[in-house]
Amino acid sequence: MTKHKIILDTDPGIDDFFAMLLAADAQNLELRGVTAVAGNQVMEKIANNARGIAQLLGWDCPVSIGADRPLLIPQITASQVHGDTGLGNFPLPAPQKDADERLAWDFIYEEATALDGELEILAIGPLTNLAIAFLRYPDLPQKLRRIVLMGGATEWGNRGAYGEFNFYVDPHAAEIVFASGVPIDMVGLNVTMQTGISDEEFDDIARTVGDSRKVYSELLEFYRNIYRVNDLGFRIVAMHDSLAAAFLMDERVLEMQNAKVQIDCSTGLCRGRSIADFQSTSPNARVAVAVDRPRFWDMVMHSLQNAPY
Amino acid sequence: MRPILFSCSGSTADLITLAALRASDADIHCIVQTPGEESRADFPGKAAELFGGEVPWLQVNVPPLRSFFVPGGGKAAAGETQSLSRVLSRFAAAANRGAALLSTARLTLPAIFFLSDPERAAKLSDVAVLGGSIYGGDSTPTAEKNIYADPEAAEIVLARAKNVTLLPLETAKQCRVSTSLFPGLFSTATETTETDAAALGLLLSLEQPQAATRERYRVRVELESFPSRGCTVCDVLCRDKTQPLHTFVTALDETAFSETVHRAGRIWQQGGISDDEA
Repeated sequence: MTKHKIILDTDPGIDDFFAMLLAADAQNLELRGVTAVAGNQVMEKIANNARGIAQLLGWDCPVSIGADRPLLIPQITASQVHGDTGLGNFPLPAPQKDADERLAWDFIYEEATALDGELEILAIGPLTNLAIAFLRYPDLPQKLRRIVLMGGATEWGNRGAYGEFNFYVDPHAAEIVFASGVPIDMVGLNVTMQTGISDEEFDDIARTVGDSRKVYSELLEFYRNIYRVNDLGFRIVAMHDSLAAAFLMDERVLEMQNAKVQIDCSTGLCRGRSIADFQSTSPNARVAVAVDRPRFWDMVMHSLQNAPY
Repeated sequence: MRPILFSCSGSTADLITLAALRASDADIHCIVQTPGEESRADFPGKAAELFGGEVPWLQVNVPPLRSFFVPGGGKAAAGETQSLSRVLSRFAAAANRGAALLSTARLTLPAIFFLSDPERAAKLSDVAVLGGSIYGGDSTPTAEKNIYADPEAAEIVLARAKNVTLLPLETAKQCRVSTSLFPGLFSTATETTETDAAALGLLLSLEQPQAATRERYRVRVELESFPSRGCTVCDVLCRDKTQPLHTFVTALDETAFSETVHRAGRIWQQGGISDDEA
């Protein structure tokens, strides 16, 4: 089996955590490293979460720290969704291993060079680390095989009317990534919101993880309550980042269409909006338009069955 | 005086600035040239003459950050990543020495340095920028040319650098020097008798702080508005208390400036040999 050699660029984050569980359960992913980017929480907490999750999952790969804020605009976080720690009340082990000495963009470039065109990036946070990598290393685009990212939306957004959180946080970074020429698979809100978890599925998860690993169902419950208690505009708890990871593992999970994607970098009403032109003759991405929900759900449940604790 | 990292385009005005640096016996860590329309072909040679070839000179062709936002843009020529790495290594070494960055060109390279090596960038003692304006521009009615040439880079530097000093267009217009002081630098056919030497004013503010009048504002760079793109937006009343203030040089001591100019002129005329050495 050919394995995808990936770097996971992430801002964990509750749904990032479930995406990492999924990646840990994958047989066809070779994780070369984790790069942390500020997004769902501030960098100190994100770095701690990334290292703690890596330890929990038994990952021995480097965990590298990256950008602590967006390229050009002030930082915002999603602490109202992910809690003060960024991972609700999950009892994450204290990380024992130091972060890698290399900054995220240096690590990405070194891996990309070493793998000579084979490296893929699974990006499930704001795209600041990748944007800095492209600015710092202009020849990096030629060294990457693909970027699979969770971000954007072809319809409405979850931060602003049209802006999806990851792109809304750092639209300039997203624009640089989409302009890079690297093949991109965009997994946006228009499909991730179709993975919303029903009450029956919550019960199913609780049964699957059982008492011994109920920290996972409790984490999801925390996530669900956030949406119930707060007026965030919608009540669906979705596995946004997991869907991007699942697509990397099995492309049958999503239906993709070519599109030219541009990002609205204004700070006005359309901040962070991803404008996907499916009629363009010069596409720069494949954009997810439909999800095979049963297939995805099987993968999620399998990863939970094998989750540590 | 702390070491100087000189980031420039290699223009005539930059040669005059180098002459002034030579005259003050400054410790120049490195000269980094980002070529532009105003660059002189003989800049590297003239710079080497001034310093007897003792100061490292590096050149890199990195495009303005805006080009990275355009599909197919931001592509570097073969080998440019290596050139950029060499230049950024110089920046890092300069920062480790607590150097002051003196920038007379667009801020692309400093911005990439601040983004990609933030810990070391924070060690720069000063970031002195020739650029910006308080009320009006020269490239457009609102934007000054060094900022307008790469507004995103300027915003990155202004947001991240400590101890930023800008010499804005309003002050730059006061910094004129006689071309006769710098023979061979100007075409004999030109009727111009004065030339811009704003960077000398910026250098003077670094070397002799008491010779500069300063005001502190919060400054951001306009990136979205088409007519105001690249404009340095100065909150002169400092309404936003949450952000660091930036220093503007708003006036220079005329006598001190004149002395700086004439010392630079003498060094130029003596081919880089100082009065003491002469």
